[in-house]
Amino acid sequence: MRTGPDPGPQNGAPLSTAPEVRTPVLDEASDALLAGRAADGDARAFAVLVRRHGGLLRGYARRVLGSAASSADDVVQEALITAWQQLPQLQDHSAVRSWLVRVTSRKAVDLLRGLKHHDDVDDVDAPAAEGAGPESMADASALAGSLHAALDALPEQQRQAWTMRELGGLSYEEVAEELGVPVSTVRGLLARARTTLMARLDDWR
Amino acid sequence: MDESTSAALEAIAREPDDLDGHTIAQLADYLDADRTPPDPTIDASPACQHALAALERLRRVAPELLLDDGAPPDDEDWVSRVMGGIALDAHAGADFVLVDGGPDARLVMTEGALRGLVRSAGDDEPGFLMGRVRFEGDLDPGAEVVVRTGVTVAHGVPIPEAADRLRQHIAAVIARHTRLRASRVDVDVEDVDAPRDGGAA
Repeated sequence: MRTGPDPGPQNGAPLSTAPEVRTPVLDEASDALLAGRAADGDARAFAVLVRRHGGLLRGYARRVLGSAASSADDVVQEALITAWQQLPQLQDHSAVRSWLVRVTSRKAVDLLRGLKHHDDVDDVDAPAAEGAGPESMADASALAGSLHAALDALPEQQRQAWTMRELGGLSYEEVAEELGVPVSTVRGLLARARTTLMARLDDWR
Repeated sequence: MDESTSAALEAIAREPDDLDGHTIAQLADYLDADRTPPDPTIDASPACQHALAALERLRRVAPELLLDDGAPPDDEDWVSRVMGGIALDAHAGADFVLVDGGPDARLVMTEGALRGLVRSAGDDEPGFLMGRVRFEGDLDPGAEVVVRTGVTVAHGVPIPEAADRLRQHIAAVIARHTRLRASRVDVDVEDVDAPRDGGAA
């Protein structure tokens, strides 16, 4: 077998069984390869990562930001600019997705901290909108809507902790670091968030 | 979710502690650890089993639904805005002297630019997609340099022969564009691209 355009005779083997050589393309490359090239300064490779994970990061940022969700695009954009600068320091290139989630988490938490200086709507345990649940919605988007509402109704830190853990895949220790609270607090926040969300998921049934 | 699970959920919502001595936090940890080592006090408790089922359901259903409202992955306007915000020379690295014609005629190149040259030379070679590019040795005019590359190679490529062509191509590009000499080009095959089914993309 050869890589040139003319495969030529195959030592008696029928041509049809010769594997087709297909040069790998950047758009389909692994995260690890793309992160390595981006760390080397290849903007095209970074653009593929942005395209591949941007939707997830934007959805994620919206969930972390809650009522400030309109800033999600800005937060993700800022996070990606920071990520581009810091990529050469990333040790494990295959973990670039979860690393991007962490960078986005940090930017989102920074933004919320900044907002708090001006605006003290905060961690009052809002009653979880009793009776406001959807009644006769039966499709997946209704379920999503119900979860969105339930998540938005959670106290801020519970929502952030749950989003970082369950959607971002951060470890308890990483969540604690991002939120600036002890791991034991993260466990408590997650337990309360899970209990509320499980009950809400059940309401929908 | 069956009715008994629903009933258990209601109980949890009202009395999160009524789980035969366990808490939701403990059950979530248990789930995170793939239920190992097995804990008989959890495994034998119907209340815990129901709560675990509910936790699993939440975990399974939530991510896809919540992330669903993200931007479409091919939102090129947004991608362009992000790319417009990055500093393209952020990883250029140090300048090295390409031609030293004295203080008035010095031609320099960045290490990043040289990496880019090697990268595109490798991408041009059929069957290869380049990963990282590294240089060892000083990049002084006339110096010998070791080039280290990580590559993904297409399935079906006879690797030793193809890697030889890749080495020669990279060495030729360095010789053509700089005063350096590639004394060695290491090709580290980090990945083999999966074979494709004929035509079925």
